[in-house]
Amino acid sequence: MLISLRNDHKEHLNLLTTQSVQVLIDFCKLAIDFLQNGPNLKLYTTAAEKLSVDLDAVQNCIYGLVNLLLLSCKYKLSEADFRDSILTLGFSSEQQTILHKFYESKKTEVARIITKLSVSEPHYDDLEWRFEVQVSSRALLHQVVPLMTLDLSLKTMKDDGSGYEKEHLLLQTDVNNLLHITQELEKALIESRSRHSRKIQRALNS
Amino acid sequence: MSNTNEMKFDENIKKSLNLANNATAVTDATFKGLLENCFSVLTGLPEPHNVTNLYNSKPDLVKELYAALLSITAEFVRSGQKSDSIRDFLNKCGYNEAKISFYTDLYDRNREEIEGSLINVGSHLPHITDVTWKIDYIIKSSCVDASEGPLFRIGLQTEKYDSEIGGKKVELVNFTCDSQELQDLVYKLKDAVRHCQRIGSEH
Repeated sequence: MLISLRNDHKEHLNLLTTQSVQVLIDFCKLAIDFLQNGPNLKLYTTAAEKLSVDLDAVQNCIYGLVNLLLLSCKYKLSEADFRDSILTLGFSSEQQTILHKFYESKKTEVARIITKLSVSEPHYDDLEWRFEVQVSSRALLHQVVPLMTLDLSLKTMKDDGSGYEKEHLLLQTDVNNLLHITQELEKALIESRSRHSRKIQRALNS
Repeated sequence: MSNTNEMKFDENIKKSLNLANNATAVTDATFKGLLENCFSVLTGLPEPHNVTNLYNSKPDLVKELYAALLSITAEFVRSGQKSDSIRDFLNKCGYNEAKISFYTDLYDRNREEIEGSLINVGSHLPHITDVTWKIDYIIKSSCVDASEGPLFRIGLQTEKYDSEIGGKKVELVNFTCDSQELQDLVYKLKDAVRHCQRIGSEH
């Protein structure tokens, strides 16, 4: 699929279409540096002086490159799609190759990060179980109660996207309920492999 | 079964129990009424006899006896006493055969139920009683224009005794997992079930 950029976005990138290949490479490096370390006004000012343009123009250019990267990752563009999308911006074939290399180098990392930014909910992490028998308590001295103790660990993405917050839930159940929930969850797995589910999956992936 | 638990009762309790032998303070009818109330309360039911009707002329003595009866009955069930040892104990308290028989009769009938109430006393972890699941397919999200799925949303229903409201509190533990994680979870649960079945069949 093709993405179309907003007009102001196109204008920002316009600056690069007239530049040499080396300048484009440098700007891509600046964009990568921006992703990792944030804006570096000193470098941008030097670049602005060398090209005899405003500092603003240089900054907007860098932001434009980063935004192009983000949009491409969001829509998971293939090489052909990416090239077609930037074709309309007026980049030469060589420049397209460079931009594509820029996209490829950062694609997986950015894609991974933005999936983490979506709705965060407790996600299954691990389950540990322990079988025990309660033999006595303060209230009743002679007992035989078989129990299964479970340690369910769930991870939730932290708000700033920096990592997972893990919580451990201690739960218990008896043998009957254990069997019941195991059978229910197995039914869920089987249902997800049924014809109906497979049809939907195919429809979504096409 | 020989009972190795030696019940140690306070001398005061034995004195209070002795009040039942005082015919002017505690009539036979009163004694029976008190016992019926006692066993009823310990199994969690309301008292069948209105306590004020049992008081006669000596309400403080009757209350004392009632409290003592409740204490020893709870202790008998707690330590798993059988009728024989109870019979011996009540004999030492000076009860006549009629009183002892009445007591042991009620005890045998209600023991299991009282055990049931006592087993619930204490703190327990939330107990899983049910599970709900649904399968979701993500078509799009605001960050990534790609589909994902199947995604399983699991809800574990847990019950926990809440002493504030004096009853069960039901809570849902919700979480998500993808196919691989659910397979991992089911595998671990089946492992636990296999273990239980192995233990159960080892006899």
